[in-house]
Amino acid sequence: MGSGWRTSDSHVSLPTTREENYFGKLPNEEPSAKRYAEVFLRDKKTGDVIVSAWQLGASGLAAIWARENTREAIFDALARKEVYGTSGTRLTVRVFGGWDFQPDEVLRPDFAAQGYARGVPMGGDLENAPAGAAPTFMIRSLRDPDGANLDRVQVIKGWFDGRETHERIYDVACSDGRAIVDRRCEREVGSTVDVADASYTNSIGDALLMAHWQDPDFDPKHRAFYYMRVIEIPTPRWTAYDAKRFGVEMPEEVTMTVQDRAYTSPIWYTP
Amino acid sequence: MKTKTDVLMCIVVAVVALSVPVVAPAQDAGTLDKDQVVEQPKPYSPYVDQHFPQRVLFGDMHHHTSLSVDSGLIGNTNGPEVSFRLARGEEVVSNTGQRVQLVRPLDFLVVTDHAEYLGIAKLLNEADPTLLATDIGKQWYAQMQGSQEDAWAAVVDMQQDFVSGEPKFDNPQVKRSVWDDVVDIASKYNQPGTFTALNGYEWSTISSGKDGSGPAGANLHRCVIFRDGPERVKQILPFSAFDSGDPEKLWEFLASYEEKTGGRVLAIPHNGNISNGQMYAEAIKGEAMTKDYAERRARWEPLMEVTQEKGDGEAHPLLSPEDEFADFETWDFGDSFGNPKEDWMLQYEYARSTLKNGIRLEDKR
Repeated sequence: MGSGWRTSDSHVSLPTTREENYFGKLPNEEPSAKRYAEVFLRDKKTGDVIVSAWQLGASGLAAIWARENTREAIFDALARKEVYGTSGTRLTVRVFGGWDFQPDEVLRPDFAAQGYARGVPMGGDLENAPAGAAPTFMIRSLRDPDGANLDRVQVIKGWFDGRETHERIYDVACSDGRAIVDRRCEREVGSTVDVADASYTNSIGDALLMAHWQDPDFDPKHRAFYYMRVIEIPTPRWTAYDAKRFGVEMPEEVTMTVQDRAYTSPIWYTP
Repeated sequence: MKTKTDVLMCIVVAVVALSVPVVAPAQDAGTLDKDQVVEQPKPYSPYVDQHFPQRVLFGDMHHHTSLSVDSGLIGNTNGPEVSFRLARGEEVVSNTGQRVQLVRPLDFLVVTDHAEYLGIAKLLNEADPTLLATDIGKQWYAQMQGSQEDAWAAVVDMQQDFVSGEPKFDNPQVKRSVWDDVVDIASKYNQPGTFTALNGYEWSTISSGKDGSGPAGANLHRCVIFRDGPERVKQILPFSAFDSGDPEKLWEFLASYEEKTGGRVLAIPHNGNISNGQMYAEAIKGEAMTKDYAERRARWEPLMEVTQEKGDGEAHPLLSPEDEFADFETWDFGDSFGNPKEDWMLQYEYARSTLKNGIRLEDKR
């Protein structure tokens, strides 16, 4: 089974997925001073509120790697799983898995040609591991030109050792020159969010992150999958924009910042 | 026509991959006559023989308009045309009279209104005579004209019909006319190369109902996405929860569509997080999943919707306690009726745990 695309499920005929331009899911959740408190789901017996409108996410988008913008090209990309999903941002992420990618190749502007020639893109399968080899990945991510800088790129690995399944997260590119220590960026990226002003700046994070990564824990006998997660720097959530624009004070439990992100379809390894 | 272009391109790629020289047919098939080899000059432009994807297209593949009863009966009067106009970059007016525009156009949009009672809300809005000639049509119309609570009560009643699988209004001519309209609107906004409007709809079963597999409330919805244009998709009517609440029956329908039309179609499940452990379950109707079932699901549902407004579906903090980013827009209260969540359900709802379960099951076969 694949993964890696995102949609809005908007029910107001308005596919708005950005925090500062969110028009809600249902008509009563279009922008207003009181929409955050609208009841989305109530317990039929007790009348208790189960979900409030502020818990809706301003998201999301499907991103499709294609040659042309047509029904056929989009559908074919879905069928081969060369797609990823985002929580509403239009950041770009590209990944190739193969057996012999070299560390400096991802720095080449035309790295995709080698990626396709000697490996597979997101949604693809790796098989026939050469003796002694471990999967190598080339990953490049570029921020949304009208959005937030990137915090980090992560590889999420899952595998089955014959008895049980496991998962492990590897940070593979960290912004702001941070080193990777014990599989994680050495410190958090920080935040420039001014919640009261519903603003942030791109003075932290990076616009472009690139990584070459080789699985250090690879066992050719074990089935595995690898997908990429790209995390943006913190930005104001739609609730913060509402608070500012309508001059309302949100209750304590309302989330006011968000780190938007992208998830790619996995690359699978089969022994 | 487009299909032909794609096939041709594939052949070119295959030839180039074999060798740079283009080989003319030898007289003795199977023997390469070197004298017959014609050397093609290597093109100066690096891109003429490059056929892999070089652009990312952004869009929304799960989107509702006034044609869905849970939208059109409670105040949304904007139909698919408004959605397409906004998506391609125009300013439109929302239901509350607010001007709205995107930061820049999307590349594509799939309008996926609920197949169940598709278009009924719009017809009620227009006081459609065929609908108002029925008792239930009159009742819905009165509820819609009443208070917000009355209108919402009509939606809740209709959703009960999604649960029972028994529609209270079922008119083949109306269904045909609505679906043809949906397809025609997509055709109108589909501009190959500039903006794509794919054909699609949503199959909206909530687990129980006709052939249903579990307690009412578990969201098992799928968005159905077609590769094709009107000449193919107008040959069918959307398969809905009124036809069956069993995903396997949906896959049979998808197969019959491809068989009948020569087209292509797939289905994308969404919101496993409100399925209470059913969306990616390993037990199918009480039995262990068979290889055949797994292969059919992978065939018809190669993707999952990983995240959306009603919660993120990548990972859950309880399943991934060492993942500091897992608790993102988490919705884990229960199913779509509010039946509470239990911890065992989580691994059958999220992308990461489902991928893990998937490779474990694959290893067993």
